[in-house]
Amino acid sequence: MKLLLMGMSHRTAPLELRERYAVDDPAPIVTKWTGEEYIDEAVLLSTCNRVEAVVWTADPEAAQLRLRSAFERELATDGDRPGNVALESALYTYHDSAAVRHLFRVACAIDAMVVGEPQILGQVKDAYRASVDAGSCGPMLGRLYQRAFATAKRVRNETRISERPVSVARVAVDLARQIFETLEDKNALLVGAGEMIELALETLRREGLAAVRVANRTPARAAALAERFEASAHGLDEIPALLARSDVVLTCIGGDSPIIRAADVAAAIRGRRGRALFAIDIGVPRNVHPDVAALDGAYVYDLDDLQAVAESNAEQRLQEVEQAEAIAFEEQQRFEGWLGALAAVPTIRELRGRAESIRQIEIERGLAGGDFGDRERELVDSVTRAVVNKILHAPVSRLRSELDGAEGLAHLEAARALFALDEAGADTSDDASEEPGPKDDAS
Amino acid sequence: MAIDLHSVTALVYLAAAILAAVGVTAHTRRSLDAGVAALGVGALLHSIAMWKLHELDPVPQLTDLPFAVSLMSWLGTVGFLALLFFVRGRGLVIAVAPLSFIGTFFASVSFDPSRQAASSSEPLWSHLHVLLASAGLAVLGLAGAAGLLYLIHHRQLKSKRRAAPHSFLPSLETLDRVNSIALVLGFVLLSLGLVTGILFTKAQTGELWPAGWHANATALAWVVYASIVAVRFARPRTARSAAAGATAAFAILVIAVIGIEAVL
Repeated sequence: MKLLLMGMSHRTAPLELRERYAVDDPAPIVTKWTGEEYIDEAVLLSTCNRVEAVVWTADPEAAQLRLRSAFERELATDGDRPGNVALESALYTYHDSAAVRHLFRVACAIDAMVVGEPQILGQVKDAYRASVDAGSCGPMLGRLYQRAFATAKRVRNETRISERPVSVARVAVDLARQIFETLEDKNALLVGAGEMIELALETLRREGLAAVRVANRTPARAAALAERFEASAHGLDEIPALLARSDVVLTCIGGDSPIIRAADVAAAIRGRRGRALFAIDIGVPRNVHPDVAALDGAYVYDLDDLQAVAESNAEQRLQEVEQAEAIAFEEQQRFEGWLGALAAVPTIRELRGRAESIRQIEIERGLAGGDFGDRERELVDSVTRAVVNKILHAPVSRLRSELDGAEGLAHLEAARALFALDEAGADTSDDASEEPGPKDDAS
Repeated sequence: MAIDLHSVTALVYLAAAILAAVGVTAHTRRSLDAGVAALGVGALLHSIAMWKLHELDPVPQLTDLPFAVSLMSWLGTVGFLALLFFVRGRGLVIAVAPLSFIGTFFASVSFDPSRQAASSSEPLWSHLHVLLASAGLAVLGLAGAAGLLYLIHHRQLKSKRRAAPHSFLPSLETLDRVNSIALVLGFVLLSLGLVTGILFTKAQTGELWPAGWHANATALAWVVYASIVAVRFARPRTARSAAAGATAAFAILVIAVIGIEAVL
């Protein structure tokens, strides 16, 4: 296996570092990587909580250096390269089995900030599709990601991890209830028009908020979303005025600088006659200026803050997580079995080739001096072929079937050693056609 | 019998306080519910204990401090239980139950039958004064408890790391509302208690203002409450300041009304 995964997530990197790695379009990057010498296939996942590159490579060491260099120089969006120390502690690298396991845990939302959240699977699928469209995803990563999606489906069906769907929007609502007695007379302002905002809209509508407003850079997208959820659509320039009329604010929009500034929130709070303002900022880079959190009456949670909140959620779901981990491990072994089976194909082919070669040589040698007709020759050919097939049937079947297990690779190596498949010229040597000894004759 | 019942009531209130603390800190709804139920049982026992006090011969007077403190605790507890029908504030039990316990425990260990006999002929003004002041103190205690919980919850939500999405503390809005209503009601009762106290003093001594720490400290507490109420309604965007003020003012009031009397 030559699988390599390198990345950073909410578990290893603070938001200040992660927000510099927000990759909007991974296609040009993976195209560039796969155009180079060391990387055969590549998928780049970039979400609010993680940036991860998965590559299939013939030279893992060179590929690792290449990815490290990409994190140091190419992927940081603001041109200000992160320090080596910060990157060293933030980046993790997984090889082969560990990489498969990590990817499966991510797809199943076991490693997610909010355990069991449904969004991450969609984001992994998007990253995979982008790579496929860019021509950077081949059969190996293709198979890996299909297996990851199947694993996520199994986890969802066989555990209760998603029985009560938990999302950032859900956590936002639960936190809002810590501030407000009821949400029915409250107004929400959602900034952005992406998938997260759509999910939040759905959740907030279910909570029965009095009014929901959507503000977006492109008013047409806000209008389309607002229409579906009986909300009103606005432009970003209306946000300062909307803040005074909003109790819950949820932001998830792209952009280099914060959309919501401290001065606007301070003015809004003054106009709210003491009512608190609760803001959830899931944008990367952040959409709400950090100074807003210091204002009295404003309660602001960014992604890192939500992580601490979500940990209590993870504790409650410990049993489901254990089941999900077991499924992910089972599927990891299945995938490795498939990879092992791929490795067995050349061995089996060589084994059959060796046997066929010996058979041909011995037939030629045995029939060389005699006067045999076509019928006899065909009969000998047919009988020897059947004998060879019968002899090889059991070991070949066993090699194929046991590759799913832990001893599969050991058996494969044993077969190569026993049949001297790695020794040059061994297949047709005289040793291979060793004459049976007297004992054999006697028996 | 009445004093023993007070002791039992204090124990039940203590159990309610422990159950509530476990419920809120360990995030166990059942424990919190049990705390509220225990407080309800305590309130019932407390009612019986108060009734039994009236069956004593001679009947203890309201001006007797232990009786007044017991009355305060009872009014505060019953007032809180009644409040639960109108607001989602079960988490307030974590502050109310300890106050109920402290008041009842103090009363149960401080009752002195000989002093009851000596104070058997108090005028009406004195009873009215104690009744109104006790009710005011109980309601202001509730305001103080709501204020204290507001500050704790505000800090939890601001610090984020400790904020749990399903905390059993009442919402900030609920706590602010309870604080606001209790502050106004308590201030009115305290003012009436002050006026009746002046009338009582005038009836007894002919002077309008009695000398002594109790009267001076109570007047100081009244001024603090008046300021808080005035600021609260003049500048409504000061929920946290009001919460802090209500908590501090209640501490002053307790020292003024109970602390000094108990010490002197």
